[in-house]
Amino acid sequence: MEADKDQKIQEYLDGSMSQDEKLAFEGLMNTDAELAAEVTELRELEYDLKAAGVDSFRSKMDQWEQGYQKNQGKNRMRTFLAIAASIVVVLLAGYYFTGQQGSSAEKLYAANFVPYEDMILTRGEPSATGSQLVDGMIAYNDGDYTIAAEHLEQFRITNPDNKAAALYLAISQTELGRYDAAERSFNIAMEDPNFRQQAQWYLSLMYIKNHKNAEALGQLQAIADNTDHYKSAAATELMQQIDLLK
Amino acid sequence: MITLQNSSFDVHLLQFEKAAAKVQQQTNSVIDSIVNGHPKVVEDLYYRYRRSFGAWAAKYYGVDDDTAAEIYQRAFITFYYNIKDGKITHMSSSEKTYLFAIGKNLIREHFRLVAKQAEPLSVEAELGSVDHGIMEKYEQSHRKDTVRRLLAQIGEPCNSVLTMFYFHGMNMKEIAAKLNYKTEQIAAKRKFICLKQLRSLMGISGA
Repeated sequence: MEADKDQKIQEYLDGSMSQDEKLAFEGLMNTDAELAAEVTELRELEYDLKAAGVDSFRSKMDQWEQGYQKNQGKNRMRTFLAIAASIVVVLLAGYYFTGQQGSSAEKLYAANFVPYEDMILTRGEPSATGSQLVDGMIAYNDGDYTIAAEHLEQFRITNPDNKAAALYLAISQTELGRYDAAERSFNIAMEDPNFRQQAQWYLSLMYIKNHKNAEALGQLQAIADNTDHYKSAAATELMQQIDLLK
Repeated sequence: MITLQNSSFDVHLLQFEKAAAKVQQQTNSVIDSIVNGHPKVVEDLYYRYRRSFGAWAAKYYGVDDDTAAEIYQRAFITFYYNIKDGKITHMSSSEKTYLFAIGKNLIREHFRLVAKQAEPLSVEAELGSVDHGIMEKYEQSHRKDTVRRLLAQIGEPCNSVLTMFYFHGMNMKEIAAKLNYKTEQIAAKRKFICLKQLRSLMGISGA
């Protein structure tokens, strides 16, 4: 009898009763004050549990928000450092460019490298729901290029038409020093007209990092010649800096 | 000529329908993930729209960073619990459109701002059933701290069953699999027994 009553209460609270069963049970509660009180207490308890659950969810969101803010700060700092490094490189060019060719290339790269901003997650592209892509981009935004490259490589295998992912993969591979793979990825990214210019710019930076100045100058010249290119002026300036390396 | 135009139109229509179906499929997959309690998907969803929400709120409503973060969290929690509680069971637009539409209502509600150039969002009419005050409602629960304290005392398996269901948003099927119950019905029965046990503890503690 007790077990049957519990079964009914459970079904009522879970909302798994049919409309007729529900009406019959509510009729029973109208005549049984003890039953009605028990159901009310259990329902209130479920409500309190849900409320505590909302608090817990809110705490989780606060942690995510902290992660987001930290990442934003890191990006701002990265941009600031890149600009500062650029100034230092220009000021100390004379010193660095005499007899320290190898490390100067790295410095020149660092001074001009700012990770291309995430246009995938921030734009909420429908294609962003692939979890490899999302995980890859989150790692990319965190500056964790090893994890980013792993996820984006996997994503590219199953989504070969997604050229945007190839750009972020190529940038990650450049950061990891995987130059041959990066070059292949940049060439794929260039097939997308929306990412061609970005791929050209980062490919030239990759050549600088890899001490391939002739290839870098070839790419930069093409960028500089295209006055519509978003990095046209920067390419001209960078070519002058490479000349100082010689 | 007419045939060619129609044919071209049909191709575009087909492409549009395919794209719309893809968005629909992805959106419903988000709903499934929330209903079935996949925490990683929920976390990814939070990050996916966080930056664009801040930029959108700043552009159209002049909302600063801190306020945008607060509003985004309220919109996200509203979106999440309305799906979890079965108030949103399907969406005709993307989850982003829904999330931003809820955010738009919350911005208006809390800051009484007049939109500068807000674009009309077509899903607003569908949001009639959405409970925007979900956080305020739950915040008014006075006994939630007591419940949390008693959950720590209740022991196993009740602690796991109730925590998984109410805190981690898992459904009975997943709880059954996780705790090795043969069926979800057995897990649901266990949850009910645990609820009664917690009620007894509440009585003892005098809450």
